[in-house]
Amino acid sequence: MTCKDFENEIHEVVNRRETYARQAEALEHASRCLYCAMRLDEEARLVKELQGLRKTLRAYEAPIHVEEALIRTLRVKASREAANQDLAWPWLRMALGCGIALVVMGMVALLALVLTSEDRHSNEPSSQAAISTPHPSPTPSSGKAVQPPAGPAARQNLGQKTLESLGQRPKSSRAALRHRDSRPQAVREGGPPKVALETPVPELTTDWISLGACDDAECADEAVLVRMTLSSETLLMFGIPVDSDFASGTVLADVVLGSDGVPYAIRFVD
Amino acid sequence: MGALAEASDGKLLKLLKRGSEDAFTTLYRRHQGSVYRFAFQMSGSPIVAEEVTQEVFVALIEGNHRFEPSRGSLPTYLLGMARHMVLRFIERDLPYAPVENATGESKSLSPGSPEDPLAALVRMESIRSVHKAILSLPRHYREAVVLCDLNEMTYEEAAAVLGCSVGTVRSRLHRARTLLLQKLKGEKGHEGAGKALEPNRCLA
Repeated sequence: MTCKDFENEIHEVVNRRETYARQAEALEHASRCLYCAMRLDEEARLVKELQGLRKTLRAYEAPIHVEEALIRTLRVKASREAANQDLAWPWLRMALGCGIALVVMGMVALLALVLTSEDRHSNEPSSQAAISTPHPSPTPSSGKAVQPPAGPAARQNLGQKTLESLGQRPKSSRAALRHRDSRPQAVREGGPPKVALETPVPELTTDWISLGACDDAECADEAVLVRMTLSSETLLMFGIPVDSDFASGTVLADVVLGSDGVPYAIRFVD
Repeated sequence: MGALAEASDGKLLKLLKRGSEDAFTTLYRRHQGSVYRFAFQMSGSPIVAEEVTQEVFVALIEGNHRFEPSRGSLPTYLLGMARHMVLRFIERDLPYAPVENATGESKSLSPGSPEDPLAALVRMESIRSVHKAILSLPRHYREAVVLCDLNEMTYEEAAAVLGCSVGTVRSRLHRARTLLLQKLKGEKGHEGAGKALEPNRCLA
């Protein structure tokens, strides 16, 4: 062992006398080298003093008030966490309740939407059936002539109803043209189609025969359709041949009357 | 409490996380001494040692730690945390600390066993001078001496606390002891006898 090796390992020589493998070799070197012997002596003295300091300091511990303060900190933390949990629970429950309520409301809305659309689909074929049903004749069964209504409004309503029941509208009537909803009244109102329940009576009519132009907007707006009983001679006036046996009889006709009572169109009903 | 006294540090930490006061007390009493002594030996101030001990265990209570049992033991981790706090205190507060606190002389360094009063006095004086010499060492060397010589840690444990290699610990310790000897020689009459015997070169 050289002096350099001894210097490098002097701590092990002093501190780990029992376990150090080269202890004997190091001591043998120190017995031959005065400098290394002196270093060994110094090191041993230092280690002894450090051990004394270590023993003295071993009794040193943190004062009791440090432990007390830490325990207080721990308790404060525990109470804070408990308070946080108490605060968190009601909010959590409220949030959960709101979430469930929202989900239920969404489901109800979806269900209502589905039911509404299904109802709409189921109504559509019946209305089409009602429209395709042949219109019953609004002709009074008594055979008496239909008198024109007294007031203009009443006449208009009557005319509109008549037009709807006939499924046709006079070309000269703007009011009738504005009535774009082709569905029957009963269907529009959501009720059962009453017309379809009645026994359909097929009705033969002639084409509309114009009796004069109606350029006035007011007369056109207030035009009404009335069914009247006319003498069969009227047919001859329009060039329609009449059987001689039937010459003294009457005939039914739909007449479009203006607001001033002037007829604008006529058609004959068999 | 009796059952907890033999429980491992890991188990006690788990219980502490759930708020167990007994687990904390057991942990504290098991490790506070080494933390306090380390802080006192490093700073020489009982006030700093108290503060550091308190902060280390508050961090443990609050869960503001990154201790993983797979990476090392709890004492090593606590001493590493204490080291950081002591260095912070030293850099921040020590220049303004009272002298008696900074050197730790206010704390009585009393001998452990009764002996001859004169011998005890000499011994106490010697210990005090060693403590003073340690406190005057540069920080890196002081850490090595405190951990290995005063806290009886192995090189590996000290390396874990300091976050360096075992070789670095060895070299720092060697240098620290050399510096300590120089300081003690200068203080006492060491140099008289030393110089008289010191040869110029190795004779072997």
